[in-house]
Amino acid sequence: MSLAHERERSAAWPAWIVEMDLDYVTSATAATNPDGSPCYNTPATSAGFAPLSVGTRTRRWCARTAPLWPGLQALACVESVKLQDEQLTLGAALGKLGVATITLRDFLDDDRGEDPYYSTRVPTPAPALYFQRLLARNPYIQGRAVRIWRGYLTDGYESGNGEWLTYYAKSWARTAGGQITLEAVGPLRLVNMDQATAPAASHWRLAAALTTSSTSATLATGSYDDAHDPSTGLLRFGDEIAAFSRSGTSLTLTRAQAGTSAATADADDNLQRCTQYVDARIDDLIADLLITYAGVDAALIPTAAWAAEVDTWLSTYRISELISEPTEVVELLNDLARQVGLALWWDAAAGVIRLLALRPPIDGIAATLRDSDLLAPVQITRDLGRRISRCDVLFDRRSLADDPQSAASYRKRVIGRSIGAGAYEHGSEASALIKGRFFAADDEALALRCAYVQSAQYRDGLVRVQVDVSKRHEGIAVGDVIDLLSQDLTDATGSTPLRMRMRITAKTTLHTGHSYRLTGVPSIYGARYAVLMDASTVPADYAAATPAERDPAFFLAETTGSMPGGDLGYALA
Amino acid sequence: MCRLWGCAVADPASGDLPRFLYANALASATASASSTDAAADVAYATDGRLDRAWQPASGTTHTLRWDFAAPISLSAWGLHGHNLGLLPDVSVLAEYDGAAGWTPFTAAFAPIGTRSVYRCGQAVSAVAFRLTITHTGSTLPVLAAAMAGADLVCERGLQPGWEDPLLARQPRTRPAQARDGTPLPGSIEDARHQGAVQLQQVSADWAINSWLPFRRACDGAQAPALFTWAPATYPDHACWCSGMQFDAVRLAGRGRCDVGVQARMDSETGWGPV
Repeated sequence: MSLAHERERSAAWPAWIVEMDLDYVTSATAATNPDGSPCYNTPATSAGFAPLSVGTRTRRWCARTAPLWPGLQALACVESVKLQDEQLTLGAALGKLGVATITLRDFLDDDRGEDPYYSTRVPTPAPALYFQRLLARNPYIQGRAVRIWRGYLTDGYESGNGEWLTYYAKSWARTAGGQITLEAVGPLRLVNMDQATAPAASHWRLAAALTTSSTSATLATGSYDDAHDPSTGLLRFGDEIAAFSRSGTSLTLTRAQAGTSAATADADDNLQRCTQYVDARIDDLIADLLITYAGVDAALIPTAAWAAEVDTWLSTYRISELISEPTEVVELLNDLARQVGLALWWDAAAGVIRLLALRPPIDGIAATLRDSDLLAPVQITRDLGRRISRCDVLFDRRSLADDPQSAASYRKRVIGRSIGAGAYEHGSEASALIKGRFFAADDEALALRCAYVQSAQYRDGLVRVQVDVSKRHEGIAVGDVIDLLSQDLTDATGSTPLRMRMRITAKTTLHTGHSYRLTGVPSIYGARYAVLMDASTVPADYAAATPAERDPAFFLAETTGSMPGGDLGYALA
Repeated sequence: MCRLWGCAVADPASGDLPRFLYANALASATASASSTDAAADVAYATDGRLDRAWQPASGTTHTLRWDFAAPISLSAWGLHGHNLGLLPDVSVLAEYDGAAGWTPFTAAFAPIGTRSVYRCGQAVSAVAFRLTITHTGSTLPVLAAAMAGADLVCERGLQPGWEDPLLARQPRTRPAQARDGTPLPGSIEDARHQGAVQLQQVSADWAINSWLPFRRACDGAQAPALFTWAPATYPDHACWCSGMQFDAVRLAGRGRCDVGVQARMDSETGWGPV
């Protein structure tokens, strides 16, 4: 059996397994701490055995409705798992971040499997509620890995009959009825919660006052870390940015950099080190923000896939930016996503952060959904409050020390082309203004693209298409492109069914292992984009090609301009 | 959901009354086994958890023995989460030691076709209890839960028309159909069922002295219990109750009360596919 087979079964039995890695002391301890308190080999209960070596120990829980699985070593205490996948907002911001809510039922436990010194305890520990005791011994869980197996056990447990989703613990709470609610999220949500900043707040302080002509300074005692602090870079005090080189406590300064003027500073003033990017690729910049400043594990970033996406669609972007004040990484990522036109989200099944440029959907169609695949009529909503007919972009900051959120900080403004605001269209202008902190003086073309992308994407407001599908299409994921062919889609002539291509921006579980709600955004690219390919890699005949081969490969149309079967013809871009 | 309910008049039948075994005397006894696999401690059979189990190291005759610190009252024993039905020629014998040597407590039998075993006997005083499992073949027994002690005999009998929880064991399924009528793959929601036992107009004395201790032991703390609803008529029908939620005791007039409990009733939870 396989996951694909289970998704086709008329009565497959869905189930969950949840794994959580909690801190566990691996260095030598004893049943009792030196102060007499009991030790359970968790950092919070191990005192006086320094230095501690801390690894992890995995707890495994499974659905209460599941039959027992020999050898799985899972406690049957999972009441439910609710997954809210990440929701993309194309070309606007990071979107809504996903969350997995796991409900666990507490139960009496003798502690035999938890207490490493159970056999030596005198008297024998009394049974107590498992999760209450686990929580008391592990009070710090945020950021610890939580893995969820979502699958089917119709014929017993096989790992291949499901998929593992990776999250990180956010919080847990005890609710009425002896239930524990564990919330787990993707790493981007943790970045948001941690309010990580770039640059990090600097602890350097001046030992003595600076005049406007000082070219050296001394760091106050105790305000620096010689081993870890940088020896060169840029720093800011007041409204001035200066370059520095450091040797111990001594700084050599090159004053008035990045369009700023020399300023005075008093003793004990803070010197904020700056983050600078020069001609940086988009993928490198985002990765640096996430890894260096937000503490995201580099292994969660698929470097090659990001590079390929950027090489193909965002290669003209080279970012030079100086960030002179601690700014939340999430704010920087949101600004970048809006200006460049991209989306970032956590792919829990692959365990990586995805990067997607706002672009034609030529990377293959995940599925073609017809009425025979849909559980309910197609729903289309338009949020006209999100309409943008014209988008202006500010760029070229006067001084890199100026506030990037203030319009007065910018020298130039690109006036976007108005789309859909005519008297016989929406009838009014709905304008937006983007402050392009990442666009330099010569980035007018990029600013124009940014303006066009925004108004093209949102000329009719935020359009969302919702379809409900069965578990047969459980594999469709956020970020995928699908074709929708439904009688609910008609054109002005009333011909139906009509085909709509859209990118999935959200996925919600209606009933676990049974039905799902997919939300998508129609492609703004009316033509069918393709790339010229080697004829030996795909069939010469369109009719013989598979859906995966038809996009992005290129085929010649019939004399009508359409493809066999009435499919849309290709356009060269 | 299935329901069992008590009648307002005394059951004229032979005392075939529903029973709960919740106070497990084996949990505090000194346990030993003829052999034990290194990763399957004998204590796992009485820890109230189904995810771990006792398993012998080898052989075809196995003995599990529990010695009590003080004599206990023994009226029933039970098993759950086992594979005994899969063993060829299997037989299980329960014996007790009343300080005068081993005496059969219930007759030897083969627990085939059920994964919840509940056996009742004449109430005796015991200082030790043992199970002897014999079988052929190379498959070794696995036992997740063993219970023994003084069980709770419900005061009232059952009215005609009661529903056997095993009949309600059918999986709840959720079908799927496309909007154009095309059948789509559906799913099983739960192969367990939520059962309720409601006893009406029991005596207040019984409610206070027998039912309330049961409630205190199992409500909220989530301690499990074994349940049999007609042990004489259907000796192989029993289930494992967990997540019990008790109704409030209601006064029904004339010094009588209504009591009830809802629980997830598993009669098929065992090793391997259901």
